[in-house]
Amino acid sequence: MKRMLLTIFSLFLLLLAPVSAQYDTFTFNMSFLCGHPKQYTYDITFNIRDENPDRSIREGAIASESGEANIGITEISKTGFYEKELSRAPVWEPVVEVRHTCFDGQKGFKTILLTFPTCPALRNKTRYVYKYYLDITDKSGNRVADAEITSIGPGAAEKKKKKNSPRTFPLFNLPDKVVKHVARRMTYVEIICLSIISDRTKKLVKSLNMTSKSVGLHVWTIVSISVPVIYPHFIHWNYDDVESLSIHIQLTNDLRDRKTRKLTKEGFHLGDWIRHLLFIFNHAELSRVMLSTDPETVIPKSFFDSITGIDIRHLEVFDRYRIKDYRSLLPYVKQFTLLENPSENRESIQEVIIQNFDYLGVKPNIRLSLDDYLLMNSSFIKMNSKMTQKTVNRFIRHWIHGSNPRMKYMEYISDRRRRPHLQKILKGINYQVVPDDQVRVFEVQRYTPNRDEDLIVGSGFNIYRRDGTQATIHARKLRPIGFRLFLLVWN
Amino acid sequence: MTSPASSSEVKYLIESSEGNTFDVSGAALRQSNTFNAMFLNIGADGPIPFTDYNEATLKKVFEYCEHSVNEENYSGPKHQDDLSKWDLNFFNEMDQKMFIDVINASNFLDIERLTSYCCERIARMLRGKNTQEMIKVITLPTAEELEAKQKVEEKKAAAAKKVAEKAAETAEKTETLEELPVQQLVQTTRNKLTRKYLSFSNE
Repeated sequence: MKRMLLTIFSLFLLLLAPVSAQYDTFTFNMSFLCGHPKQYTYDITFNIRDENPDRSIREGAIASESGEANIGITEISKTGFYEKELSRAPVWEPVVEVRHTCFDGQKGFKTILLTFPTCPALRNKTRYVYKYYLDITDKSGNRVADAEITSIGPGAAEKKKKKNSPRTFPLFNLPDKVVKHVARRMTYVEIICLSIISDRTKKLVKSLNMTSKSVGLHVWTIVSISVPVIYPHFIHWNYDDVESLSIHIQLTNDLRDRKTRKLTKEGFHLGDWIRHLLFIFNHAELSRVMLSTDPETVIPKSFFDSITGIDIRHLEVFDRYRIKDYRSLLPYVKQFTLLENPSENRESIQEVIIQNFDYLGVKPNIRLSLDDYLLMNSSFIKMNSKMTQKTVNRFIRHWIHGSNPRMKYMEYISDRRRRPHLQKILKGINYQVVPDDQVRVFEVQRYTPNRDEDLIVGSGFNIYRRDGTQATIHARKLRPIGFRLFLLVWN
Repeated sequence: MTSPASSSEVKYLIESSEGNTFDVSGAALRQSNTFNAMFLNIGADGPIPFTDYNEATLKKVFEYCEHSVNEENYSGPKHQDDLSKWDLNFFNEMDQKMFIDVINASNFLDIERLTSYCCERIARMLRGKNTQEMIKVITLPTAEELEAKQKVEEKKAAAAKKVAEKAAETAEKTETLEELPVQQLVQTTRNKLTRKYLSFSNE
């Protein structure tokens, strides 16, 4: 977007009377309207003068912004003092330049607070603010923004005095409807902070009906809790500080609120934090838990104990985890993907695959035999590509004779052949070709972690199980090479 | 009898907790959804009893409504920084007690714009704070205060009921009027209007 550098013309003498005689510091609350259709950058020069100047007070008396600067202010610089009117010298003026970038569509009054720091030399000095430059024009001299000082008040020192008598507000004496209104005006991060104050605030936040698409957990050297709705903020939990969470912001985001917040609740562990987040975001289960870490990190047993009992939609196990580490989680897992198994222990892996999951996927680098597949009790079984098509045929024939009774769907992916070798796959199986006019929808969506739609099948081979159950064998291309073969049991 | 079409021109009498009455324009009063639900279509016979709120609070609330009569229709919450100078002064003039009274009254009268701005000001007190800092700002109520709040809520429900009864009573009278012969109806309406606008005769 085109940027234009605009200049400032000092035109107005808006405030002639002495305004503040007793303050050690000043705070100027200045509003200006910016509603430009394009992005502009302009400077505001802001001058303050003392009618009874004293050169000795220069040091430390330059203004600085208070931190309340608003969106769009990209830079505040201090250019120091200069002698403006030599006839009245030594008149001094601290000059503050505010560089403000207006973005397309940004409109409205913005406030800048300029606070002059406490300076011993300024103490008990009478100062008069009588001039400031506020008329903002473009290069052609057309006025593009209006500004005015809306209030001049005590500065930091006086505010500090006020701070000693804390500013409180009896929020919870207001009607619940009002409290909810207030909460709705807060950011997600602030709402999370509010929610841990008490049981009442927790319920209040829940009643806001905030929903996040998912709540996930990534376990590595630290634990990341993913709550997409609070993006660009993200939450970390540390093994060494179990009672706390920290909320960070992605560095690439240009937002005002960059402060990392630490939330601490006595007696809390990771599991309590997760239950809390699930509660306030109206989620029943963790959408995804990824166990992956570097070999040096010791994951304490208390970590798994803490999250045991929380429902997990999809658990993915990487790297070095042994079944004994996460065994306690399995009864609460719906979908399970095993990516690596460090032990190579047959009994160990069989303990996992016999569980009644909705989905079970084992990556090709883990060796499984046909017997292992026949042991599986999951509703959706994903066979890995290391299996041969001949083995797939034997698996189907076992299913026809009564194995894997819970299985509703089986998916086999071949990344080595362009086409399924149907003669091998269907060998010894009685089948009927799916008629051209038969289309069947298989509701696989809720059983698999990665599929966001159901399978619509209009081709393949219908087969019968001995107990009369019907199923369809269906194949489709897997680009760029290979194919996917499904065994889809009819309802 | 006040018709909906003329409600922006007419004035209504409001009764405060002290028993005092003062007038508010129909246009200002129409910003209250509570009023709209109860009186807009049927009009009000006599003062409208908002007797749970004192005169100063009600006047402050309706001062805001009068001011925002000509503003564009409320289109959702605004950021504090988008408030006009008048709005800022309006809020800055109030001490905390008055501010709380105004929020409560605005909430009861269901004046969206005012309630929203009040809530934004409170939210600003908590902006950028962590839990510990929030606890310092929010004074958590004691058990006694919670009990007192419960009583206040009950009292307010009773007040709302009273207002609703008043509305129902007015509606009933309206229906009765419609059954009267035309001449009698004209006379009755004239009497009512004379009584109602007596206090505004100098305008």
